Amino acid sequence: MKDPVLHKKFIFNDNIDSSFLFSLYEDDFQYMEEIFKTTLDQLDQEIPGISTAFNDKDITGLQKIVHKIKPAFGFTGFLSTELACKEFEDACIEVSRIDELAPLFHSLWTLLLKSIDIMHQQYDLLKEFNNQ
Amino acid sequence: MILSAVIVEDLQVAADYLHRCCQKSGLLEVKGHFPNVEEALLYLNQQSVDLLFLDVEMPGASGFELLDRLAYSPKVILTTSKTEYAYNAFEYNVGDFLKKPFTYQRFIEAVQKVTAPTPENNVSSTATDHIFIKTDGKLIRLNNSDILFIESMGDYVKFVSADKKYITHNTIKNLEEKVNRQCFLKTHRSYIINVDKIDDIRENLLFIKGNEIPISKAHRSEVLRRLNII
Repeated sequence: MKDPVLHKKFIFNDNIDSSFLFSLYEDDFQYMEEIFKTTLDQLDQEIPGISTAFNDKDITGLQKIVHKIKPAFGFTGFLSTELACKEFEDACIEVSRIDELAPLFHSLWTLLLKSIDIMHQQYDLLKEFNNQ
Repeated sequence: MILSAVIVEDLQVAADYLHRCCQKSGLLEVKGHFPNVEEALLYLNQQSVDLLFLDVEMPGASGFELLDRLAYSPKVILTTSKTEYAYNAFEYNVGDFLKKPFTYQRFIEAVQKVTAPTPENNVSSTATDHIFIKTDGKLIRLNNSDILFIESMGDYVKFVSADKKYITHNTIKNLEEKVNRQCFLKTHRSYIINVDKIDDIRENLLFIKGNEIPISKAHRSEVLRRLNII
């Protein structure tokens, strides 16, 4: 029989809104593991495009990639990262030159890398948890 | 009844989640997932489906361009992370709008909303020589032969005859299923015309008694097919 308080046994990193994750997936940790894996695979493909677009001064391209990956952070509970993507996306529409975006871009870039790093750790921990 | 659905979405995790929601609901069978408009159109113009889960911003063409180019009108639920598309969604008669990420409960609400039986919406008829429309608190009979065309006005439609215009609460999408298809033809998401009333056609426009009616790319081949061209 399913343990109704099972989710209390897995403690998510503080950067992840666990209540939001449970509202999406209830306590299906196998599925959460799949979600983290799928997200990491896609982010691995998309993230290099962000720095390429910035270096190429391609504001539209940059806005499109950030728009695309934004909900991926939502699906994995990184709501503050998702919000930062939204703010950056809005800023892309407002500016005319890429250098106007530079401070915001570097701050977003740091946050993205940190979030992905935590996502990798959480994925490994979920995998371990599900194999117990 | 289980409805057929297609997912058009470039973010894999969102597509997988949608697929799972569809399976869990027991209401929908997912016929396919496509990461862009071109691949989706290849399938959708061969196989009709009941419901489309459609992202807006994708590589290449947008979700709205897909709706412009699709030769029929399935029910549509937009899945996007931008609420700014709500106005366009209204313009395209989209059934509901899911902001990613969404809960299963919200998903079910959207599906129930778009699959609920359509009310009679103030028009009664089928394949007869007339229709009745409810306007100004009464039912008015309009003979098919008197109607020049029908134009969308958001939640309302305008029936245009040679000497009068009648406005009633309805949608082109709903009327498309109700009017006599031998007489009427959809030329654009906002227009249904009486085929017998066409005066002339110039590129992407047709003219009826001085009224200019657009023909969308999606409907052009069907318009040409219905004309008696010799």
